[in-house]
Amino acid sequence: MAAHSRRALYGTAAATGVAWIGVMLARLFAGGAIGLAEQGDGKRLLCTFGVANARPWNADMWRHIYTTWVPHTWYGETCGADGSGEVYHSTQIWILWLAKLIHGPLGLPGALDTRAVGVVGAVFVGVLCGLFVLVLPGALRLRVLMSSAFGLVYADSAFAGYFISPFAEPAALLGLGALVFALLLLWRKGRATWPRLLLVLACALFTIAAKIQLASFVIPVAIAVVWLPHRGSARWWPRRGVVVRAVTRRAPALLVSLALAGSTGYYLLQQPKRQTEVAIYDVVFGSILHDNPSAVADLRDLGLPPHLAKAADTNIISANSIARTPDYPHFHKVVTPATIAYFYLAHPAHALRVFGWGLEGIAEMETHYLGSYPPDSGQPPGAREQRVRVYGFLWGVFRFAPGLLVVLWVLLFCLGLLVVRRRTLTMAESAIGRLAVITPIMIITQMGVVLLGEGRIEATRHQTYVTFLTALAIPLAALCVRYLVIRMRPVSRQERAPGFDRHPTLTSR
Amino acid sequence: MSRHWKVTAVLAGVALTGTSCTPAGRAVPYTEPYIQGLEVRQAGVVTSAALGIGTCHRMELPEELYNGSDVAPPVPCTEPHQTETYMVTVFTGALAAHRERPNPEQLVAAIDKACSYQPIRPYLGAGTHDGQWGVAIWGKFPTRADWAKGDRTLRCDLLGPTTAAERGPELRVPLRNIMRRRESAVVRRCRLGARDVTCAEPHHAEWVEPPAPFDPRPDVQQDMCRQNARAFRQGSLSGLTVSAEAMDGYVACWLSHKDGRMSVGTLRGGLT
Repeated sequence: MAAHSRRALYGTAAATGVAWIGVMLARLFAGGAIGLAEQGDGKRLLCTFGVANARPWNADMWRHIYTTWVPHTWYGETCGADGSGEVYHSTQIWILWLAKLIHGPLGLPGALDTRAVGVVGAVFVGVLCGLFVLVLPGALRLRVLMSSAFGLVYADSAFAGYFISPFAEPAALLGLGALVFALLLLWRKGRATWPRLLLVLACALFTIAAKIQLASFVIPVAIAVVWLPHRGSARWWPRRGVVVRAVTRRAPALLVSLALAGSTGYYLLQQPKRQTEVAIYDVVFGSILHDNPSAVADLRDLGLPPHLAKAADTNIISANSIARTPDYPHFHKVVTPATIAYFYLAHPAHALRVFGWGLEGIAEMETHYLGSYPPDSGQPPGAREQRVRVYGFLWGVFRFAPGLLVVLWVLLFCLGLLVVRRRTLTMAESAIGRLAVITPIMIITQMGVVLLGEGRIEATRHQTYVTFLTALAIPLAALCVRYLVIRMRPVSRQERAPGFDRHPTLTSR
Repeated sequence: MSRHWKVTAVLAGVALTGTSCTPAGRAVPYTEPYIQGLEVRQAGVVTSAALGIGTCHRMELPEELYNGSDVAPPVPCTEPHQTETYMVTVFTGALAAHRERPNPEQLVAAIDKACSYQPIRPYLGAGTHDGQWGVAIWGKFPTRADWAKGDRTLRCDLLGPTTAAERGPELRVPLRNIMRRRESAVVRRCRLGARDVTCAEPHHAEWVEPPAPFDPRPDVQQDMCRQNARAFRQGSLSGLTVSAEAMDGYVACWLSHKDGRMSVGTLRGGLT
């Protein structure tokens, strides 16, 4: 591992960042803009800017992207989540705000254009890639390689389309990258510090507040921040017992975890109730009762009358939805997220079945019913772009055998533990191991929340973040293997010590 | 909620292509089964009672039209708009007793029952020989905030036909008593080839209201249709030709120019 100067490091980071901005801009715009079509719920964020999508009434919005938004006055409940009028909260609004700032200078039509969101997204992906170079351990070449492997996930056809869409995914995906950066920064010196803890908190909050389903990250992030004791905490209550000391030395991290949990709880309370209502209906009638020979018994276990079995595979707005019948108030009262969680605990076969659907959804990697191109692109309706498809290619293995996803997650977790325990590695290298341990926890908790909240409905799209993290897991696992196989040389006690940094960066000051 | 829009769009498409011209099979005043040809549109809903009968409402985007409530200020009925209020009523019973607004599906089910067919034809000024086509019932209910304040108003609108697919349903004239005016071409049924269109669009033939009762004999069918067509025209059929088309339980009568040319507007007689 060759040492390198600080100037070389910064220069490489900057070059990598700029290069990835270019890569992202090219993959989004070269040959015509691509994005991801929406399903009618795209306006819930953009309408808050007083704009409406400029498209013909009969536009096939599932099949084509319509990027331009024009000024429009929304009255009453017309601007809100699912027509409920309830405000849809997401940190994506900040990304949109930035996009609006550059919309004019870019010379784009209308009052807002999702192509400007694409430009903002490309810049942030570049920034993240540059930051990864700074916090990843090892030689510059390895840092650039790993950083580019992460950048390639953003550029993959499964995720890049979100950057030119009205969805909230860009904020969540970028937040997720920022969270990975913040965690590596937190761990790379072997001790936690207030600034780094607060950075993790900020990144986690930004990510969770992008999409309600990411509230699951509270658990893995809490584990991540309390993993290492606080810097200088060896002097805190030195004569207390082991447990008290362990807790005391992590007091700042525990406070950060509490703040994260509290903020997430508050955010959850602000979310539109209509979304939860629709999701619960989908879980019961779209998942639990789907192709279910024991539907009557399961309904009884849920506290519902057996005749509701006839509504299997309906959604809340179906013509034969029970939401339109006198049975619905009872359903609404009896079935809650807690009821569904208890049902799955008491019915492991159902839990296993929904887990299987979840795996199939992740193995699909990307939705095939939403188009990538604008109507004037010359592409057929619903055509999907495949300009960059590295991970999509690798995903062929999972499409063939979805169960291998579990193997990858378990493997990554074990590799991470081995790396953390390996005494021959520096703290910065151990940080990669810690990330490898936390990533599967993020995956499983996220998958659990999605399956509990959405079931098999649109499993692929709802598990975008599980897919994203699984894609990140591939280079992460490769790096862990490298450390375990190649880095056998013992490091000096000084190098292993918390606070030591073999390759100084801004972050080590 | 991806499927929400898909299903809504399908429902809308079905409704928009619907027709009120389900025949009773005889030249009698309209009865309820006849009028049931009107598609009932849900989705929506209401506003305050201040938006009374005869007000017109612009909801130019699908997101606005399919939203349950509508509190946008009404527009003059001579300007482009999508719906016109023909009836204002209130939610009653257990549903109305909720302090918090019930979910949209419950309200829509109530709208299906509350927005009655009966007032529609009188509102349109339709007589025995006037058949409305392409209009649909579209309800609106109060916003959550208005409901919490005690507003239980249920607004029953008529949704206009779609004459240009890229613009969606749109009206530029008031519907009240429209059947007495030539502007009624926009809500009358015509045909362009085998495709149903409004009579405000270029067409080859116009539906004669009412259809004739079923009779297997072609000459009898033709006679009945000619008789209905003369009443429809309120005059001679000079330059026009009547064709009879046996359907399931009734005979559809179509009126067209003898030379086969296309026309725009209605052939109905006695209009102002």
